[in-house]
Amino acid sequence: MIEIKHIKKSFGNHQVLKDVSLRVETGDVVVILGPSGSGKTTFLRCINFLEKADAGEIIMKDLAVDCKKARKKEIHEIRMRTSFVFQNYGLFKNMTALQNVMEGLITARNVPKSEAEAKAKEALDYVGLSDYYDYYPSQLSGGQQQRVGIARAVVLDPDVVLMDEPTSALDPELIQETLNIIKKVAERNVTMIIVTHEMSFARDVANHVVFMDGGVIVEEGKPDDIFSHPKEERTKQFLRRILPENAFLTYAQDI
Amino acid sequence: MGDYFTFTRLVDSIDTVLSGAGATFEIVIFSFLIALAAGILLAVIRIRKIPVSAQIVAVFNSFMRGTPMIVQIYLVYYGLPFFMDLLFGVDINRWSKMLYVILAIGLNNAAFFAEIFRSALASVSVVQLEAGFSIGLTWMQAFRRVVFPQAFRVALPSLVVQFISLLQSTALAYMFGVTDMMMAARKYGSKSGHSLEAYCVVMVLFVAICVVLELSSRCLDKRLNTERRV
Repeated sequence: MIEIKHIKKSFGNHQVLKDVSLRVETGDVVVILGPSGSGKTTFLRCINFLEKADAGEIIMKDLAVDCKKARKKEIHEIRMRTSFVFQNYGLFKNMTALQNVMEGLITARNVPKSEAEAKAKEALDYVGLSDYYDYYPSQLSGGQQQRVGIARAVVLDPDVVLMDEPTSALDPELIQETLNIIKKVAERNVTMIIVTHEMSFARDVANHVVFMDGGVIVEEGKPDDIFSHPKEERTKQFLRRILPENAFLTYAQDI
Repeated sequence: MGDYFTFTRLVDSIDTVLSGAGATFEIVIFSFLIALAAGILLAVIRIRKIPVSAQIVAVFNSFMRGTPMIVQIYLVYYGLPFFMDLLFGVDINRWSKMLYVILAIGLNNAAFFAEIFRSALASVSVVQLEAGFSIGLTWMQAFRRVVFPQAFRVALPSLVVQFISLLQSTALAYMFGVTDMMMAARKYGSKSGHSLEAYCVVMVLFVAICVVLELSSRCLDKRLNTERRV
């Protein structure tokens, strides 16, 4: 179980997160939706301290960390228990796919090399890259790179995998293959928090959906409730514009 | 034709010129070490944007890169004893002349090195550093395993070019009384009354070192060029 409490974050004068809290049970797949600039990505980055929140608390099992006063050791501990999938992959360009996946095991966790290699190969096989162990990121397509990114995050067996718009840098064809992999990972009961704009994927995979806007959580609940019976006006408005089945209506309204 | 050039004298002068090689290498090695250490320091100050220091470094770098080396050596040569006396009351006039030259060449190249390091480090995307953190690497680990290897490869060609320029600038040292290869060549000239051969030897030696450096850098570059290797 992960609990994130009362996160606040400002960049200069602009308050991006105004008191955001979220509770994630083990095995949950939480999808965060919302328009650009709503603070989704910042919220995700605050969880593993890629961004340092101005206030708030993160609780993971026995570990409770005050975001503002977090010490180096605590931040490191949180990062050891989480992993992150980046929008633009963030692969280490000086390493092969296999080395990328092994790095967290070998350098950060002191796993013996042979064991790390076996685990990394298994992870790459799982995302369908058995033939690409020794390829460098520059030799892989965007979709393949992101699958390496997913393997690198999942191989560490973290308490939660954070995914920041994992498909938004990909072209339409590659989006589907990547979503399928994420779905496959979700079926292994890996706890995940995913920021995405892929509505049908969210509906399909998530068991908890969070809608954010203006630095707060506007509404959250089960996917069916959020997508079919949103309560808040802002959520309805957002879904009306973004859901494909409503696209025509949106056009009609705009005209 | 007068007696300007003979191979006998050329061969004869090699020994004399080489007697100055030790001093030349001493200047090269120590000023390179100063440039490397100071260059890294200056680069870090600029990258971390440490207030005040970063601005001072920026001015220092553009001054060092924008004024002739010979002027800078003179400034250190005459200026440093003055300042040391003024600030600390220490008389350093009896220091070896070579120290001034090493210091001046070292500081000059530090400015160039700093800019090379800075742009090389900046060429590695921040997201890779973040990715390192996200899998549990410490800053040092992420730097050592991910950032440095890539930055080094980017910096290598420029570093070699700069090192070659450092090597050549050591030829100015003889003007301050250091007995390097140039001074040795001059000595041979005044002793024998024939200068051309000795200077030819100096030239060939410099060229030879440059060629070796460039070839080995190209080899290294190929070995490190992992991103495009299939």
